[in-house]
Amino acid sequence: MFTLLRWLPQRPLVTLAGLLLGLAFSLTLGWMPAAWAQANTATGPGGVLAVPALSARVIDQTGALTPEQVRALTDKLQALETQRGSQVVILMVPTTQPEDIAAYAQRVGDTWKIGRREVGDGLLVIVALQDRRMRIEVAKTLEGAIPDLMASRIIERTLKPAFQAGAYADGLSTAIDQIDKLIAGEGLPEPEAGQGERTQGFDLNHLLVFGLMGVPVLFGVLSAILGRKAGALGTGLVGGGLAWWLTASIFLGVVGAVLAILFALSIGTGGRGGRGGWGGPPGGFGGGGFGGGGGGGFSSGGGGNFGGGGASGRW
Amino acid sequence: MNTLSRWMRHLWLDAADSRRCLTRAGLQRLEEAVARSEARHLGELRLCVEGGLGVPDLWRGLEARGCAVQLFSQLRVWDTAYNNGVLIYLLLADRRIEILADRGLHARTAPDFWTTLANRLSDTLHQGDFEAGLSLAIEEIGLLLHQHYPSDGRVHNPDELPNAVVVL
Repeated sequence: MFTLLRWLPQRPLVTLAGLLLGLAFSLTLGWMPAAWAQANTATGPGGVLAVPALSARVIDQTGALTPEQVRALTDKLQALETQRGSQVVILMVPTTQPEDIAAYAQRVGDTWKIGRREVGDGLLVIVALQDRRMRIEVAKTLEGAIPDLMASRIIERTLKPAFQAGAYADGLSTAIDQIDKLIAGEGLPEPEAGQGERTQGFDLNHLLVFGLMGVPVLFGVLSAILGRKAGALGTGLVGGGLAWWLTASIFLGVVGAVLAILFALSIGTGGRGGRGGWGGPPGGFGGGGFGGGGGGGFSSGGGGNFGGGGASGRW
Repeated sequence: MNTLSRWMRHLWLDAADSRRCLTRAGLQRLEEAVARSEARHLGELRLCVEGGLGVPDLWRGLEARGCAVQLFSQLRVWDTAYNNGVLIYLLLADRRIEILADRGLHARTAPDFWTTLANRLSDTLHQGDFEAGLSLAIEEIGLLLHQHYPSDGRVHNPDELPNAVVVL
């Protein structure tokens, strides 16, 4: 362990803080568009992703859906169109980089002009798999039935959790059901109590909060029972185990354990004389939300009065 | 020097380790040895054993020498009638020995006396016998003080400073 950390520079506390910051940033970056460098699909003019031909109700360019799943979703969309008249298309692409998914969705909508010609009631679900972003683009006629708020609710509560679990077909299928109900005017079922954005669980913010507040508390309890050293080791064990469990990385678990032990021992030593307190490492990190943009026009061939609407999200 | 490993050693070791390496009975015997020694001369002896430093001291990069100087003032070793107080300070985490003598005594001592003493102490401590090492130091310094500040025939020889070993 010592040799592993031998490269640490002269000022350990700065380094510890830096380590924490670095950890935070690397984890945050992990959620951001994973694929700035990999646009392996055909690009159109200006280096942006070309809009594919409208060949099916479900166009999967990523291979995330099995043919059976594509067929099931297609059948569902077919039924929706037969029943309600509105046209819904699902498009899955690897990435929309360098374009924002909202801009891409708008171009796709402009190109495809889905929805009934005279009504203009089209709806587009776009998933950019590597970007971990999705958008529901709603034609103006449908905005009464599916306002942006509802679209973003579908994204946040249906698509996001399912996509995080890798259940793309399930998420899309449920989303279609909800869109179907909205178009039928039934509204979305109210979310169950306690369920919301929090269910994504524990991210780095929580780890930091645990580190800064949980470690002293836990160490306080454990050291009272087990003594200073065993208490610190126990705190490290719990902290490291938690970090391991949450990040699924043994390395981060070990780092977390070492940091927790050091932190606990630092709290638990009395200094002789001239005590200068030291503030903890910097506080929380903002886990940025992603605002749904007021997407642009989505005009159908009918030449009616069309605005744009919808919502984007990421998982 | 590996800074992180120094931090770990210092944060790990504490007063309990200092107490363990001397044992309760050992601390008692050392205190008595100091009292016996001080009865024979006008000087004052103070012993201090510290396990490891805390975060503020580590943060400032304090070394054993600096700690000893701080303790010299905090334990008031400087505050003796003949300026002949001596502090023996051990820092376990750094395995450092510091012996600080006040100016009155230092002026009368051979230049290499302290170094020689520290080396002998170092040898004994190396074998893990802290009590024997400190007893030896008390003995040697007692002889030195007896030579320069004998209490023979003097009525007034107050115990100016506590004799107990300071355990940090």
